[in-house]
Amino acid sequence: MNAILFLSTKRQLFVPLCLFIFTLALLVIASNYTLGKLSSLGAGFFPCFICSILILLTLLQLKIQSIEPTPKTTEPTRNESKPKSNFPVALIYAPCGIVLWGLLVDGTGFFIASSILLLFSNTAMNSSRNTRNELLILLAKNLGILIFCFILFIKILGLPL
Amino acid sequence: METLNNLFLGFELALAPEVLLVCLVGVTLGTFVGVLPGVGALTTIALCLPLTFQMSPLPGLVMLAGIFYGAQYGSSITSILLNVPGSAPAAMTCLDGHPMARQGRAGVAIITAMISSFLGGTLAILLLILFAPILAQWAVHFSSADYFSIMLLALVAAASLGIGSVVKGLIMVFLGLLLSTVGTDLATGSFRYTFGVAALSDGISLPALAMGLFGVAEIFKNMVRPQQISKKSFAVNWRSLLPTLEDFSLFWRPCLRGSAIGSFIGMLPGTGPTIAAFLSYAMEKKVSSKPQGFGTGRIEGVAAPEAANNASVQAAFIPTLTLGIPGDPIMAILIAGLLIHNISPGPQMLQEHPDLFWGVVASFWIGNVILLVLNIPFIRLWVSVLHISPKTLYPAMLLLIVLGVYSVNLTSFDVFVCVFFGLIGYFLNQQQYPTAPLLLGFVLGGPVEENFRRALQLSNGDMSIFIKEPVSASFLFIIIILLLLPILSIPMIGKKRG
Repeated sequence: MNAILFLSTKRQLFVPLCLFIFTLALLVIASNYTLGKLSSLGAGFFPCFICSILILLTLLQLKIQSIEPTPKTTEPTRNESKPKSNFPVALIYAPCGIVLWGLLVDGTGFFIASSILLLFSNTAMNSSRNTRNELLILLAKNLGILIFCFILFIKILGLPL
Repeated sequence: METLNNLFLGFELALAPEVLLVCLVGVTLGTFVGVLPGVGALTTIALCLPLTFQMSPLPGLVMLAGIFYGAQYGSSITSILLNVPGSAPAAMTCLDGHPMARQGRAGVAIITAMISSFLGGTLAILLLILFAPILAQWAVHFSSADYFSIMLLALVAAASLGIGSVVKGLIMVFLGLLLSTVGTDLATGSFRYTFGVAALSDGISLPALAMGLFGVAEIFKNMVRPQQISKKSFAVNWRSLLPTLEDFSLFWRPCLRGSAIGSFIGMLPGTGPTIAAFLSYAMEKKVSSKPQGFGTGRIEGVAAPEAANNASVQAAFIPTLTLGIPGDPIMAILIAGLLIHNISPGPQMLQEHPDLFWGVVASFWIGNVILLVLNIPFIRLWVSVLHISPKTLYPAMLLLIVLGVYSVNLTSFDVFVCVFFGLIGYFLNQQQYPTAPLLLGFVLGGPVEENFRRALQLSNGDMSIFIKEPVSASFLFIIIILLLLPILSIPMIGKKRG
C-alpha cells in the first residue's frame, strides 16, 4: 500500500520501473537461449549481457529519480489562457484509427480503411465540435487527402491495395 | 587530382535531370517542413523513405538529404519573422533574428541567415571532399575489435553528448540494442524474442520503428496539444534584403567561426545541429566585445548559429558515409534507405560505389544553391505555409505514415508495430527520455554484436583483444572519459558555485 502511495507521488518513477520489469522478463527469456563460450558466443549471450546492463541502469535511474522531487506542473496564471489539451481523447482515437486501418485494409481496401483512419484522426483533434460549414470543408479536405494518397501510393508507386 | 576527377563525375551525375528534379523536390519539401513547427526533418525523412524504394539509390539519397538541409533553411525564416522556431536549432536564430525583424531589419536578418547557411554548408562540403576519402582509406584497415569500439563510442556519445540525463540516454541506447536482438540470430540461426510470431523472425522493421518513434509520436504530441502559432509577421521587400557594408564586415567572421564549430560538431556522433547552433552562439557571445548586446538584434547572433547549424548537417555525412556509423537518427534512416538497395555505407563504399558517394556530395552543393535561389524570392509564400490548419495536416500525415510503413513489407503487422512505438515514443518524450539514442542503438545493434562476436572468435575468447589493439583501446579510452565527464564535472560546478 505504501509502495503504491509512494509511486503515485513520484510519477517520474513509472518509466524506469516499467523498463525494469520489462527487461527482467526479457532476461528470464534470454536465459533459456544458449549462452555458448567466449570463443563461440551463443544466441543468448548478447541479449543476457544487454539485459543485465539495462537492469543496472534502470535501478540507477530509479535511485536517482526517487531522491529527486516530483517536477511541479506549472498552472497558468489568471491572465494566461490555458492551452487546449485533447488528452486522453487524442491518444485513444488516433491509435485506434491506425489499428483499424491495419485490420481493415486487406479486407475492405484502401478507401474504406483510410476514410476510417481520417475520421478517427479528426475526432482525435476535436474536429467534431466544428460548425456545419467547417465540417463540410473538412470533409472536402479529407477527400482531397484520400485522392492524393491514392494517386501517389497506388497509381504512381503501385501499392497493391 | 583523383578527388577532382571524382568530383567532376559527381557533378555530372548530380546535374542529370532526374537527380536535379528530386534534389529540388527534396529541398522544397525540407523548407516546407522546416517552416512548420512540430513537423521536423526526421518525421518527413521517415515519411519519404518508402518513396525512395522505387528510385535508384542516388536520387533517393539526394532527396532525403535535401529534406534534411532544406529544413534547416526553412526553419530560420519563421524564427526571424514570427519568433517561431520550426526546428530546435533555429531557436538560437530567434534570439537575435526576431529582434532584428522588430527593428525593421527582417530582410537583412533573412539574407544573413541564408548566406551564413550557404557558407556553413559549403565549408562542410569541402571538408567532406577532403577528409572522407582519407578517413575511408584509414578505416579499411580496421579490425572487428576496432569496429566494435568505434560503434560503442558512437552509442555512448549519442547518450552522453546530447541534451539531458546521461543515464536516460544510456538506458535508451541499451533498449535499442536489446530491440535489435529480436528475430533470427544470424550466427546460430536460432530465434530470439519472436514469441512464435512469424513476422518477427526477420526482426522489427526499421522503418516501422523509426516512423513510430519519431513520426507517429510527434503527431500524437501535436494532436494532444495543438500548437498556437502567432501569424503576425513582418513585411519583407526586396530593398530591405540588402545588407550594408557594415553588416557584411560584422557577419563574415562569426559566419566562419560558426562554420568551423558546426563542421567539427557535425562529425561527432550524438551531437547534431542543435548543439552546434548553441555552441556557436555561446562562442560569439564570449568573443564579442559587447556581449550584453546579444539578444537585442545583433547580426552576429544570426550568422554564427545559422552557419553552424547547416555545417553540422552536412558534416554529419562524413562518419555516416565513410564509416557506416550514423551520428543521429536522421543518418540512421538514410543508412536504412541505402541498405534497402543492398548498399552498405562504410569504407568500401567509396571504392564500390564512387558514383553514389560523389554524386551525393555534388548534389549537396547544388541543393544549397537551389535553396539560396528558392528561399529569397518566396519568403512570403513560405510564411503562408503556417496557415495550414493542424486539423488537416496531422490526419494527412498520419495516413501518409501508415501507407509508407505498409508499403515496405506489405504487411499490417508493421503498422501495428509503428503505432505501438508511436505510443511508447510519446510517453518516453513526456518523461524526457531521448528516443534518438534508442534508434541509434537499434541500427547499430546488429553490427555491434557481429563485430563483438567476430573479435572474440579471432582472439579465441580473449577479451583483452579490445585493449591490445591500439585503435580500439583509444576509442575505449574516449568512452571512459565520456562516461566519467558528468561525474567529474559535478564537483567542479559545485566549486564554481561556491
